[in-house]
Amino acid sequence: MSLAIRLRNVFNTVLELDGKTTDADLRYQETPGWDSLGAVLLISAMEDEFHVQIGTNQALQIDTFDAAVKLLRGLGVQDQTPCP
Amino acid sequence: MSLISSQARFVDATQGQSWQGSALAERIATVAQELQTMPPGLILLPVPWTVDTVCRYLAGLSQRRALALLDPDIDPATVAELAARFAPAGLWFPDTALPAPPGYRNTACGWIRQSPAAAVHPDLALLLTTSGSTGAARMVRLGYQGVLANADAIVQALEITAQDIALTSLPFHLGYGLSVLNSHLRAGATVVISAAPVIGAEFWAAFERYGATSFAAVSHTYDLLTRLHWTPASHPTLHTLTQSGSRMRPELVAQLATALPVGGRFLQMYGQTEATARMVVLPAAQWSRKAGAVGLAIPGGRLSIRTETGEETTGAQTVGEVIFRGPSVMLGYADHDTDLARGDDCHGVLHTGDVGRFDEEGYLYLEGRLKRMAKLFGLRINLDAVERLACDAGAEGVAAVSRNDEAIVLWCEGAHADLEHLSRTVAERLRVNHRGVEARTIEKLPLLRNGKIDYRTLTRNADNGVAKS
Repeated sequence: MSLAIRLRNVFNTVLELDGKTTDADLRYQETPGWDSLGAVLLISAMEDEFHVQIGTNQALQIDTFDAAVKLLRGLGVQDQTPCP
Repeated sequence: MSLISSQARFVDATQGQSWQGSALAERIATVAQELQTMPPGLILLPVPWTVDTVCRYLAGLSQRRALALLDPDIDPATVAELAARFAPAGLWFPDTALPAPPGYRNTACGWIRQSPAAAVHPDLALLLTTSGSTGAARMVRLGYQGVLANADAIVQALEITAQDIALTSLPFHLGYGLSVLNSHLRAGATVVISAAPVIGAEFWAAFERYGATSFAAVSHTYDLLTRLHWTPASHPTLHTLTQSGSRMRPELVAQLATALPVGGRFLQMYGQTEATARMVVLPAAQWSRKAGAVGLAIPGGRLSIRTETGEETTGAQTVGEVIFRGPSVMLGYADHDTDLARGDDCHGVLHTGDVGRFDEEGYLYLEGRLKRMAKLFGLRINLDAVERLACDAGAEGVAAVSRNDEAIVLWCEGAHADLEHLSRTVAERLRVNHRGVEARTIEKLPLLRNGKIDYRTLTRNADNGVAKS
């Protein structure tokens, strides 16, 4: 599964999104549920899902879906290749 | 009335520009001209964190125009309801998208009333909303002397100096945020004005850029920050943390207090809008020895305990309603336009509605609110005490409410808690039948805008769910 799909699943679960919102429309302080508490829950869920440690400054930078994808790639997370 | 010391300085966090002394006075005088278009009466002032808004606030105070400070995100229905209820002179919010309600017309500065506004008492400086209320909210009437007195008391209690630099980290329209502004202006300190959310990169970039020395937040915000592995130790200029809002977990207090540099201070405070903002401060040196205490009265304030029989005492270990006396106590409440003309109804005495006691050294401890009581099987039970029992039993993030005085519902955050064990343990400690306590999970406890737990919603939800069989 691609990183983006896994991450979107994390967003959907934490923020209780429907499938209608596009990735590009997801914005901190604008998307319902993505308030300060939502942001903190998202970071924790991302750390659990991708087995990474996200530092304070990195966490505070995440204000779009795209920013979260870039951060995870920077931390070495890769798209999973399907099992043979 | 001059709230500002001559050394006080504003910095616009986004533009980097700063104002002080005569430049600041000039800027305030410029926005004060907008006031001349306003007929006499109360002015509604929505307060986003911008330099212009702070100057409007200061212009209103210096021209002795009564201001109602409002949430900048207030919805049109609520502001129309306030206009209908208080008959203000107008709304001071240039370029507002809020439509003028009946009887008002739009102007360049907001909207103004077309007939005479309700009369306002000359001592009335500010109208603030009571925290937690929605819709037809009770407003608190504050006088000029009270606002000044509270600012001065906070400067003394927190030892704020002209070298201090604070960033705006709390809503302007709530007492705590307003008190940070007022006290720093009084002390001749620097206030960096930023509308950026505290959970966000922009706020902390500004914090670093301007070398902020203090940070103010409610317990919930500290909780969120530490979950992001935030620590005051990563900000070398930061030496003072202040906290208010609701009881903070002792482990979190210890974690933050010990992460501060040598000479750093973690100050816990207790206040109510009804006393302008702050009433009690726990001296920084006491955070460990007096864990769980809210502290001592601010300079100029006096505390006592009123028992159920109506006697007042300052003696140790008597439990009762906390009474606060001091010059910062409100003039009274306002529910309708006719209340704006009222003078001082409180005479410096505030019945807080909070239950507390003193220890042998005079430190105040809070034990709950008068209204946070449940009657269960004929017993009177303090719901805040039930929460402490639940925490002792291993629960985390728990809120207790009464379900029609038939049972206590313990709302527990997260799905990990052993609900059966928890409800049984708490019931045993309360010495009530186990059916009297129901533990339920909730993803996250709902909060009010001031960071306190929204018990009203939890009580409503407790009534909906089926009782445990």
